[in-house]
Amino acid sequence: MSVESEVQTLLLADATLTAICSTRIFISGTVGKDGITAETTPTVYDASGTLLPCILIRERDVVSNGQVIDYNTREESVVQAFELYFYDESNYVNIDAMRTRTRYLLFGGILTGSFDLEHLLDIPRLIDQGALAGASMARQDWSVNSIL
Amino acid sequence: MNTWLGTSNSDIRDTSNLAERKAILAWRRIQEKPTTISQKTAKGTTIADQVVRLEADDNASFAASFAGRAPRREVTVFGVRDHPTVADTIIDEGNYFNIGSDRYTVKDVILTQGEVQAVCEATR
Repeated sequence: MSVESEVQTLLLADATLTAICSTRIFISGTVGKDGITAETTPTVYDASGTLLPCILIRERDVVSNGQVIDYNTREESVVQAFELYFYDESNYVNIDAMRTRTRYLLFGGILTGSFDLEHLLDIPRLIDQGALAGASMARQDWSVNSIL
Repeated sequence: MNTWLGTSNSDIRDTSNLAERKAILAWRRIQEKPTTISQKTAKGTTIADQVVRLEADDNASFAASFAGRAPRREVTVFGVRDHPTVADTIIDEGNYFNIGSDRYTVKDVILTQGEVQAVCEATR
């Protein structure tokens, strides 16, 4: 199971978070190359075409950090970041609530074979300038440390 | 018919009120290809439905961001102002409206004689 799908499962299990964004929590590995669009993820829009609160999880590269290297067992320590992107049609009320909740849920959490998750950064007041056409957006980055 | 065309109180040959005459002609062009739009302001306030004319650019590209990518095309919205019987079109920069699954965001508004023209970007 990928990091982003593990995080997705964890977030979808939280009733407080899904009360805001329902099941509109997507991962980059399955959402398709076009990402969040009316065609690939139609549930993110209501009948009038308004974007509903949603989250996109995107995992990044797996990078060896050199802290543990065992040539006999062929194990090494690696770090992998994943990013949460929060979206809503306008303003940041729902986005802030989702951001606060994911921080609470993930802080110190452990994925399969990982050490405690580390919170890296929050970028709270962004605007999507591309596919979502001016939608409110925020970003939250996390770090997963593990042994491969 | 004159009321519908908005010509009941204005002679088309009268040059004394150019803006009004241009507005009458603009409204005729809109009626040839009318589209009803329902806008919201950048803060989400709903504006009542209005009848305008849309003309799309013949070029399209992709708008890409972390969320993914979506088609992008420019569209010009034509409305009226100073028409003798039709209310001025309300359209401001930053407003947005949907047609089907496409989102139209107003980028720039230009006021001309008897007409308002808004350049919009259609994405999603």
